Amino acid sequence: MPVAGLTITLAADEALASNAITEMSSQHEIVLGRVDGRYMAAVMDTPSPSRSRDLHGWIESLAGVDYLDVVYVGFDPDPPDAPAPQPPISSTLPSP
Amino acid sequence: MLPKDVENYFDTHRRSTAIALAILLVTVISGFFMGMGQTRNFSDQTRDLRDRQSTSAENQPPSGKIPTAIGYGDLATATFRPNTNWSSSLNDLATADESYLPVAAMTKNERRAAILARESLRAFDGAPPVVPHPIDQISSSSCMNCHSATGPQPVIAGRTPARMSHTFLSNCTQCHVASSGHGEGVTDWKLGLGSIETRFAGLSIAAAGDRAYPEAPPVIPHTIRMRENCYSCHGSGRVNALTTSHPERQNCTQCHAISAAKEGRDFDLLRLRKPVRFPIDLNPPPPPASDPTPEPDTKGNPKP
Amino acid sequence: MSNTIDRRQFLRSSAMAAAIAAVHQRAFGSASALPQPKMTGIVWNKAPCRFCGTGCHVKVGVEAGKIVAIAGDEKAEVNKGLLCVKGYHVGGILYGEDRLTQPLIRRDGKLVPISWDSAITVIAERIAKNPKGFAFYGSGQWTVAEGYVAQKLMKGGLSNNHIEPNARLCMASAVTGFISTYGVDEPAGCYDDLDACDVVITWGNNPAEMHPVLFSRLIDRRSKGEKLQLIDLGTRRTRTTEHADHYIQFNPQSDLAIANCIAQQLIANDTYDKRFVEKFCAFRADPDPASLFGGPISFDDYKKSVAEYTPEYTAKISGVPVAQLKMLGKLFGTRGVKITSLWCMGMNQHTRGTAINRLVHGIHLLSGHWGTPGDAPTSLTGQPSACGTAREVGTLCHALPGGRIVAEKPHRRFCENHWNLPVGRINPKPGYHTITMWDKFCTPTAEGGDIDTLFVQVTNPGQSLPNLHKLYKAKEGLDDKFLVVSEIYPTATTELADLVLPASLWVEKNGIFGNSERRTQQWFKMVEPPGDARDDAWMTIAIARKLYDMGVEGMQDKSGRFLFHLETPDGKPYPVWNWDKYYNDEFNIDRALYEEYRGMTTWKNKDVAPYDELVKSRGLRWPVVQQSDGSWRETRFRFSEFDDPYVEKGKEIQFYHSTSKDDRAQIWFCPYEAPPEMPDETYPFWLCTGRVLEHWHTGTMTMRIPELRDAMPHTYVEMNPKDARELNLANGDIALLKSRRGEIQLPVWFGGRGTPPRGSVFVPFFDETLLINDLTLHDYCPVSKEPDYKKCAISIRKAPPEKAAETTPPPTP
Repeated sequence: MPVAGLTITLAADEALASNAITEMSSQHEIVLGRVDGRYMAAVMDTPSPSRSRDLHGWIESLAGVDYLDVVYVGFDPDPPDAPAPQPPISSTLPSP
Repeated sequence: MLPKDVENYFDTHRRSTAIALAILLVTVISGFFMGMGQTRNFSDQTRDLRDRQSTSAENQPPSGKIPTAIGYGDLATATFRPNTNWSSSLNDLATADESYLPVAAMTKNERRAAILARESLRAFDGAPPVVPHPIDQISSSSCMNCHSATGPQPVIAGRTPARMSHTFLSNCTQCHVASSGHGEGVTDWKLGLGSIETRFAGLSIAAAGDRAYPEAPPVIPHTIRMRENCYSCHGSGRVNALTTSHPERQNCTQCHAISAAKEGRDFDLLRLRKPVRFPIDLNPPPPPASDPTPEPDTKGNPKP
Repeated sequence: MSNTIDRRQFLRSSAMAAAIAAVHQRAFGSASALPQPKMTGIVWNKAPCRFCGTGCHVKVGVEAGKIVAIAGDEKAEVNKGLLCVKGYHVGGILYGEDRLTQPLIRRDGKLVPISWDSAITVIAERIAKNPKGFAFYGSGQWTVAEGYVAQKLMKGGLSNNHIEPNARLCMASAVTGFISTYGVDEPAGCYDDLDACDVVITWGNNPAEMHPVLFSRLIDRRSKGEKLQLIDLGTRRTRTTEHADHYIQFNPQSDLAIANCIAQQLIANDTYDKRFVEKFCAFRADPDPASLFGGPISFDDYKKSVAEYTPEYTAKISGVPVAQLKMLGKLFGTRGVKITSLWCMGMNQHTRGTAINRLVHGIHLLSGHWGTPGDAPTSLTGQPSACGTAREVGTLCHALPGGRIVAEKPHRRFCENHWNLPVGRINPKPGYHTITMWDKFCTPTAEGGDIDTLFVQVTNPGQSLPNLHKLYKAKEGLDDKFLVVSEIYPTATTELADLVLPASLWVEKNGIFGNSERRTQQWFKMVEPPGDARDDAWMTIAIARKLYDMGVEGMQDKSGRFLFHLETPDGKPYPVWNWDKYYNDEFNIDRALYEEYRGMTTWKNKDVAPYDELVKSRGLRWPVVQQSDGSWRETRFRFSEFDDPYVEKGKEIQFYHSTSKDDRAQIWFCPYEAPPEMPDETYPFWLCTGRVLEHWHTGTMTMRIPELRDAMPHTYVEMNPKDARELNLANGDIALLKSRRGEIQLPVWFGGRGTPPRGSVFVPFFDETLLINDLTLHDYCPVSKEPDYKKCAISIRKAPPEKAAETTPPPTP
């Protein structure tokens, strides 16, 4: 149950970058955060490491993404018995 | 009071005597360096000294045991002799405490203030800093008394002078010049081209080094050329720089990487190389086709 | 369950917090937080420093089209990564707020904008009207190509030899000293001597402030445990004296007596190097009047001439104790010890400049302290390309490129042939040297002032000429005189200019400099010049093209092509006069001009390296000779068989350009003569002028760098404290200095940088608001024509306070 904090470096081309943002926001496993300049914070909450890797590869493959850095990885040590329903994307994520 | 008593008194108050003597000698020495004829007001340091003397509790001698000062009229005939703490050498004065105690990391505002203070003394990051105090214009030997790379350093007005950050070079003023003129005391003449501004905007002093991830050791955000001795700026007690939070660790570049690009090292070579657009991924995801990892099982657990 | 969700929520929050922190740091950790972050960072490139003749290489860091940082270049042999305070701040010279950015013409006393084309037309029309009355004045700050096109325009195009550099005021005496001793200009040794010598003697020289990088190269040897003796021969105590083992203070001008005294002792004590003298030397003296090559004398004549200069006699003239003179005599008489002599303006700016240069070479030759690493007489230069441009390209009124002179017919023929010009185009008569040129320009035409248009590039004569009232300020009000000044900032020279052209500077253009040790150094353009500023070489070519279009005959070669006909690699003529095409991707004009010039350098074995070799190196010392494997090898020690490829096998040492045509160097005898002006009752003080560490030349660049200006904000008069006390002057008091030529008020400084002996004062000349050259003498050396800025007589008194207040110079607008 990996939860990863990502720093996404968007392409300099603004059209490409905004396409990438649209595509990523359509993925329910990705929560997009603040954008500073070309850098965007994001959290990827996936049910399995392999899914994580796939998503990672998918993000990197987007034309509007130059780099993808993983800055944080956490595992849920106590997985629930049943597949957990995805919590709604919260707009109350604390900002630092 | 007998001379013996004076000695005993000083023996029991060795520390405060040393500080008082340091203050006295430093004042004398700064006075000497400033030169007789100077009329400029360099009072910042002396004001600090006076404050220290009057407010610091440990500097106040206990009541009832103060030796009587000799009147000016009696100076010529008074018999002086050195007490046990007397020293004619700057190097024997109270010196900076460089014991490697843990130091609290600077706050954001402290960092900012330190960086601004640093910038005020440099044209750009990497330029030799100008000297923020009067200097002996003719000889470099006085610089070495406080700024040498080794040996004890006197604490002046609560500040520890920076050690020479680079290999020993004996002609200090070749690169480091005084920031406030040659100090011959001209104050009421408008001389020189003083009013012309510059549009030169030098490389600013890097605020912080990049980290690969939080908690990673930051890379060094500046050139280390002529700054090979990290402790010159980052050691405890230094001002205008980020002081290390772990002074007991001596091999800085073991963890803090240097940047060849920052220093322009081998730039002729760099020009020839093709830029690599993406960083090399040391741990690439396996290609999807051969990825045997199945989807999570029904319980949502990943396969071991 | 809810516990789990809380935990996941917590993990997500942590992950987001970390990601946001990382993003924040990415975005704001670097200087720019704008949408376009810096992905490339600083681009570094190499360039020689813009200031003195040392020729340090700097690394120039450029970001977003501007210089943001400077560093010493570790790969440079000259400075090995170290710089001086000027070098570290050299990037700032481009960015003074008052940079000139458009051509300006004087109308009704005011400078008003004018287009480039009109400006070039104005100059061309004046030249076309009176080609003989046109003069060109530049300096050792010209790049090689800039000096070369100026030289070609004047001598090859206009048959006019009135072209001079500021170098005439700077190292002309060193040139005549080298030529009259070795038959060819420039030092035989190089900076490697500084690493090898046991003793270094500074003759009226203060390298601790003026050539600090070389000085550090010397004294840092002591920190490495090597033994180095420093003997400072001077007329005032300086920072160099602080490091010296011996300080020998002499009366101004008596350096000639001291050098002769060393020769006298070498002969009297029989400690001269007989073998060296017999094999490699001849003797020579000046007939009357003095001339460049003099006449041969016998060893016996020489012996008799120097015999008079016993230590006792010399002590009387020089004020140096007999023991110190004997110490020098004994030192030169010792074999095995390596002695290097260094000098710069102290020996060159001297009414007997050629003579003292010859004598110092002479004692090195006589004692055999010559030709091996560490044993060398080495002159230092003050301008970045005094050697590369002024001396090697020969932008002097008597010279042609490659060590040639206009007076020699074969030399003229060679140049005419190389430039494809009709025979007889080059005028055999030398033009006006600097002092005469400015004198003729500042004298009304009706009174014989036959120079009416003067074009100044890359220097500031309105501040640097001696006796400014006579040689510069007298121009004011002469309506038929026209002064054109190409400059980067408003200066003392633009004050009187009729036309001001904005110039590009240093790394705003491609260029090549040549330093004091024969090292030719190349750099590329790295940033754009501001506004409409353009290259000096382009200005000269554009003027030539305008003259060509006007039909001026000299602008055509003998095939009818333009004087500056350049072809692209595929053989197409290139419009070099078109500024829009001056910098382009296919054709490097700097390279083309340099390669054309390079063909002229081999005759005196000054073979400079091919441009493409210079690009790869941090400069190469000529002669640069191609090896059998195709590589290029530089030469460190000329005339010595072990290093100079032009010395015949088995000769050991061969002066292959000897003026006596027998491979021998000339040991000169030149007598001591009293200076033309000495202190007397009315003017009881010696005045010496010079430089300080922080400022370079006239300070137009360094005074616009805050760090340098703050360290040395204005000039001053340096006095002996005892003299000051007698005159009731305290530090910072204002003194009134007067000479027969002018007066000035200056703040007094004693106990500062240096201490002159009683009866003499020192004043730096960098400050354009306080022009000490209003007072200096314009008498000059009869051979080199270089004036003496180091000695004249002045009076000093305390300025009356009300006068000090009313003559306060207004702040520069």
